[in-house]
Amino acid sequence: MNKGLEKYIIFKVSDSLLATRVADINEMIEYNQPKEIHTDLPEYFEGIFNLRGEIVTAINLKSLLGLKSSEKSTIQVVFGSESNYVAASIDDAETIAEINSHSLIHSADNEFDIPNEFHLGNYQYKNEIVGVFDLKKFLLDTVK
Amino acid sequence: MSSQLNSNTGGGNKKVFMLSLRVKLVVLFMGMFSLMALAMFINQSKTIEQQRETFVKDIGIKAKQLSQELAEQVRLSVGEIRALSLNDGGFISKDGGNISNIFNKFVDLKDGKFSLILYLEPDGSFISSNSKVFEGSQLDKDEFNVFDFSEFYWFKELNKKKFTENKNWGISNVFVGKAELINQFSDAGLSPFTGFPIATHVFDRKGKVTGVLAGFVNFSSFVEIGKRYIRKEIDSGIDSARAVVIDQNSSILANIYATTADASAQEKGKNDEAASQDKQNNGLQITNHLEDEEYFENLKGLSFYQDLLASNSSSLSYFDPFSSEDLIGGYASLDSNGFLPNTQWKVLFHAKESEVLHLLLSLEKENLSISIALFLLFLTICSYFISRITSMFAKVTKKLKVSAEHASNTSNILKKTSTEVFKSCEKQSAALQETIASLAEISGTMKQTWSNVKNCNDIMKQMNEKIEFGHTTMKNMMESMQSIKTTNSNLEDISNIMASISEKTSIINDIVFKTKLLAFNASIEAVRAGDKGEGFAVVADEVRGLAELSGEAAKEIGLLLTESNKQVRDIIDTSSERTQYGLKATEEATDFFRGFAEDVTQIKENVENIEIATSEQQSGIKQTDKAMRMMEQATKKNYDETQESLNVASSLFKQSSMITNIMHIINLLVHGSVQFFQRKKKQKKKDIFEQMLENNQQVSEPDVDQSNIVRINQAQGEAATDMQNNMETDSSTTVKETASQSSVSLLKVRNTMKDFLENKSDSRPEDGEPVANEDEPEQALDNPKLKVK
Repeated sequence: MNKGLEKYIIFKVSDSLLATRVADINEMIEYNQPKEIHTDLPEYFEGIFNLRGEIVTAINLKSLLGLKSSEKSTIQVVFGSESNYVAASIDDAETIAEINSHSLIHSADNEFDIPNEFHLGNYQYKNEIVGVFDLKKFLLDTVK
Repeated sequence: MSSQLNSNTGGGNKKVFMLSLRVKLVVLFMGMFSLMALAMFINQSKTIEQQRETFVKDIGIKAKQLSQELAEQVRLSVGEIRALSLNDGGFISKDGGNISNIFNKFVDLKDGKFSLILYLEPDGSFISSNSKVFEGSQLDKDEFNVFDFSEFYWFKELNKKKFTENKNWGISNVFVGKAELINQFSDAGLSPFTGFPIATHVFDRKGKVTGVLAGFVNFSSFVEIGKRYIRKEIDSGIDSARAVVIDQNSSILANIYATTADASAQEKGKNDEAASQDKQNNGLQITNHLEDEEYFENLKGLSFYQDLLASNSSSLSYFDPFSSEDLIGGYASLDSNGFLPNTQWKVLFHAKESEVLHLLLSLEKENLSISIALFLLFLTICSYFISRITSMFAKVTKKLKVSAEHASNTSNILKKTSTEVFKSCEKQSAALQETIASLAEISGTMKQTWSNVKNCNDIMKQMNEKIEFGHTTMKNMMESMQSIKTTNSNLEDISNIMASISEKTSIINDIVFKTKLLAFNASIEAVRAGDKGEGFAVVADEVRGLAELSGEAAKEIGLLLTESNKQVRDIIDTSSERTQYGLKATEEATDFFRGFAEDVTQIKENVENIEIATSEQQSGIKQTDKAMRMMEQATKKNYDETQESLNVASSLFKQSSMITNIMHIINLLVHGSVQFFQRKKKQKKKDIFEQMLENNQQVSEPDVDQSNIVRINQAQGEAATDMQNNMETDSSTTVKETASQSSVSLLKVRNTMKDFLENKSDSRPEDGEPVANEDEPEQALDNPKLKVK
């Protein structure tokens, strides 16, 4: 295996394509309607749901990223480990692509409200710019 | 009465006598009665002549009747002798006395017809006879014994059986001898007489001849026949008649002369015995001039007698030189009466013509006297009635004048009225003709309308058929729309199927989504597996690729299904909408067509009603046209009759004018007058009244001045009135005064005529110039003119 090549999953949130490492993902499940928790939590907290005995926090990624879309999310990407699981809702999974980390185009900022520390760079996919993020960390930090 | 004639002094003037009607009628009736009397006289003369000729013919018939009676007597005599011969009383025993008695009784019974009856032996010996003659002397029978009767010709002929047979009379076994003077038996006391024998055989019971019976018939017995016959003729009006019977030798067998008692007084040789005989003959002197041989010899010498002998039956009139009188004689032969054979007796019967025609002449004289008396009576009566008639005629003439004037006025009114009616008829005729023309136009229009209505009816029928066709089409359209609706339902099903497929596609998508998600998770797991999971990752990638491909396909299928379903739905929606609309429109169209069909039916009925009404109107117009034509004919007839009435009115006016003039003429005719006429050189001599009447008929000829005519009429009227007044003047007025007044009146007429002729010559139009206004013929009719030559 070539060194530096990793598989990223490219997915669609609203009209934007984002990518994150496949290895960070526990699994991808069909969107489960979370149980709402009436707290003062931010809006991107959709609630929680039970996934095979584990409590998973559902994050509305579009809301988290400051995107607006009327399209309903169909997939939830589950991250975490050891009873700390976060499920980010995405609209659709586009593909899995092998991306050389060296080929990522790095930029000072991103167009999303994700701190740049989690921004790994941009990748060109089918004439579109895909933002590659370390969503696992970002989401886990966010839910802490 | 005849009027006085005026002198004819002027050159060219002709004086004309005019007799009064009374005189004319008297002359006329006298002439008529004279002619009638002459005709009666001629007719009576002819009648007398005809009756004389008839009597001449009748006397021949009388002679024939007398001959027939004589023949009958002869036949009876023969029968009597035959009957006597069959009487056996004494004939067989030949008892002379008995036989004589029988004969005497027989002679008496037959009134002396038989002077002598002999019964002889078959050899001719005398047996018996009658012993006396009828009402006469006794006979000496012994004197008959001296005769040998077998020498007599009748005895010989009988024995020779030369019987005188006449089958028609039933005569047989008998001989009838000729007539002759029988004078052989004067010694026996039998006076000579003219007679003839009848002889027959007497048979016994065995049929043997026992004797001969002969009876001698005395012609003097036939005198009785002649007496009766002549008496019958004398009773019819004649005074005397003579009958002569002669035989074939022209010997006189009977000469019977009969006359009335008064006339017999003039007969020569009249003696006391004859006078006694007159009494027996009821005042008639009847003489058998058998002995008058001289008379008969003289008679035979006459030509007429020869003429009589030369003919079988004839009659004629002749002059008797012995009596110097005209006689009428008849002659008949007994031969023609089927008389006995070989017996040719003839009968001459004659009488005096003056006596025969005495009644006719008396009748003629009587008729002449009656005719003269009737003539005078009729003349008197006619004179009376003529006087009455002339006076009545004068009154009638006066009334006729008034009536003529009234008729003239009436004819004027009638003519004006007829003219108005004539104009009205003309206007009415023109209006009727216009009406008839209008009716003809209306009739033409009605025919065109009727034709249009008929065409309209045909069109309506065609429209009805088309409506039926449209109705059927709409019905088919409804069915088609229903089919479309069913098709929509099918499309709905397809849409549902497609929706169902679309739902199935979502399942596929879900499966694809899950497969894809599973492939991602596989890839995640492969990543986790590290190098050992690379193959699995490849599989996961392939699965994910297939899932994506499937997802894309499913997505495309879903899109296609969605699109197709959408299009199908659109089609269904559109089709349903249009189908609904089409159904509604079809229903509305059907309702419309139904209503239209009902309207068309109604229109058709109305058109048919219009057709019927039009036909009836045509019929009505025809009838109206017929009526109008009848009215036209009636109007034309009225027109013609009005025109005829107008003509009649004009004619009536002319006739009334004529009546006025004729009235003057009648005045002249009735009362008599003198008229003067201008005599022209070439004028023909016409009757005055014909000329005046001709002038009256020419009243409408407008060649004279009206004023002159009026003046003439007035003058004539005045003259006639004056004359009438003169005629009606008191009877004391002398004829002289009347004549003077008449002269004055006539002078007025003459002066007026003179003026008229002068004016006429002045006012006579030139040749070629119209004599009257032709545009005003009625005016010309209104002005009757007298054309005077």
